Amino acid sequence: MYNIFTFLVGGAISGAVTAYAMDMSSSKELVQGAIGGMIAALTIVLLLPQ
Amino acid sequence: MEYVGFITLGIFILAVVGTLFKKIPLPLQTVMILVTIVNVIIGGVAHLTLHEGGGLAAAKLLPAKVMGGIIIHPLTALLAGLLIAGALSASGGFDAIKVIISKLRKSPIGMAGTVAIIVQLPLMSALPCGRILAAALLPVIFSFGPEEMGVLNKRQLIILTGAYARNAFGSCGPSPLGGVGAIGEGFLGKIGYLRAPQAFSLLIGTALVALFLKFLTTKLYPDDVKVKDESNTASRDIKVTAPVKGYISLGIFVVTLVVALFEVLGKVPVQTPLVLGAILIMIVAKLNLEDLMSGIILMPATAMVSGFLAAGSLAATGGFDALGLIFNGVAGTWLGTAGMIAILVQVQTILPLSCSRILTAAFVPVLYLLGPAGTGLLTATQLAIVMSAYIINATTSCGPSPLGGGGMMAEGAIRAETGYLRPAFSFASLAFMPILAAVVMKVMKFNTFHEATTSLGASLNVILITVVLLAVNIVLFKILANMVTSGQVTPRILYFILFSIGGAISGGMLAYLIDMTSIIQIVQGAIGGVIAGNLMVLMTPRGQEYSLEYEDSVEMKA
Repeated sequence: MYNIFTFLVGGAISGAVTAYAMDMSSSKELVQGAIGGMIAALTIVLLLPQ
Repeated sequence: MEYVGFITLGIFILAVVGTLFKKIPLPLQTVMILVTIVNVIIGGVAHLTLHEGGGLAAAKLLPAKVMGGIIIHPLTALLAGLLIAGALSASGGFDAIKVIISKLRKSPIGMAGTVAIIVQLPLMSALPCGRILAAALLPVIFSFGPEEMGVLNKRQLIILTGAYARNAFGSCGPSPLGGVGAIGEGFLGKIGYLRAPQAFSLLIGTALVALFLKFLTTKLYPDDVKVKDESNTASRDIKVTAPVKGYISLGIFVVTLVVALFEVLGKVPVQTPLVLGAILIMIVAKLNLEDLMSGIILMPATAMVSGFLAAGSLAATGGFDALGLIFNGVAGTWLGTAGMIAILVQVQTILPLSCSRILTAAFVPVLYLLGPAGTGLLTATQLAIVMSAYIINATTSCGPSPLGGGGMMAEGAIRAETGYLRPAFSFASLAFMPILAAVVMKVMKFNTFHEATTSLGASLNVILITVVLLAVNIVLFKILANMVTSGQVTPRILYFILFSIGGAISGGMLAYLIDMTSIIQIVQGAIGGVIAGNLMVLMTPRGQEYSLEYEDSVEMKA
């Protein structure tokens, strides 16, 4: 459970930072990036051994 | 035979360095083949002339031993990936992806959310070789740029491509389908043990590469990418269409990935569903064999074979044994075990080869023997943490490799100079990802495997360290970028400073994480990290030739 939590927050950070790096730095874009990162992270963590 | 290993290792290192610095005017593949031949001759002569060398029989076996060093799996995985990529391309599958992404970016998650998903796609699909999805999707990513859809400008295209490539050429590590990490897990005796540390560090490391490219690479070398930079890069809203067979072939591709990942067909190699998928697409889209073969790129395949041959010649002549002796010797010097470990975990990024499996197969046993089963320099706990740091560094080393490494595919896709993305890849592998992998292993994985419950505190610790590391790196990038643009340092000096600081942080933190917490040990680790970082820069010859013209380039862009 905490693995999923860690990856979700990590994904949000990664997505937001990636969006920021690509000059998409408005609040809306950062949130969108964070959501995209969380979707990716959820897929990744679900494929890990639990 | 011991000193023969040092000779063949020396020849290999000289050849790699000579090629990196363009002192050897031959294609990389040719150099590796020549190294293989020279090493086999030296090994054969040694066997014949030394009493303990095994004589003629051992000399005759040498070529077979070298050929045995060729690891077929990543090679055929690459070819299978390229095959299905060719089928997708010919049937309009990439056009279908373009349409889907075009719609996704107009969804509530927008372009920002879409790129955040795109850069993580290789890690999400968890294939055993990053080249498979890279070959399939790099053309799609390029299509977002100013020369096609115009959704991204040139700078954004470079950052997206670089971040995607970083993720792709590290995704082979945590793959459950014969990933590189499985080599380390086999020695540790727990399959799947290293996957979470690798996956988490790659998840965040991808973002760090994007930051590096934003703050440093695209500012220092804006004109080294030959992509037209049109001023009006706002979305042209081009009507993107795809044929029905494109959607069908894309669907087959996705099903193929799921089948491969969840082993729906049982314990079969990943190549099997990929080839079956390619054949199915071929039938549905009425393609011929030429359409599929057009997707095969020979360069990375030949580079990988020549790399395997060179490594095989080292293994057969004792070159890797010599390397093990060197590292044990270093641990006995003032650098200590902490300093030696800080260098050892970085060795594959210092000497990046076309496929990380080449050196991983040789070094993991060297590393394992530092633990309780060997010299006992490390405890089992320390060994597992060091292994997690080593493996993520190793699996990401094909990215910056100039010997047909994966990063060259990305550089080719954006028509960049060879080595353009390399500093970003190397820095993330040096200063960021090994630490995160070690942190996750220490803080979270041990709790799991010791049957204790992972706690909220452990999660928050990992998140806190991640945020702090990212913040430190952003500050570092900004300060150094300002120093370069104000003319205080050249890009070459910048890289020495950056990689020294990154190496020191990485080596010092790694020492701390393996409970070498005295001041002396942390300093030893930091010094080891500085040495590793500087070796990486020394192995990166670019920079000097750009140091005189970068300011003009920056001013022109401004």
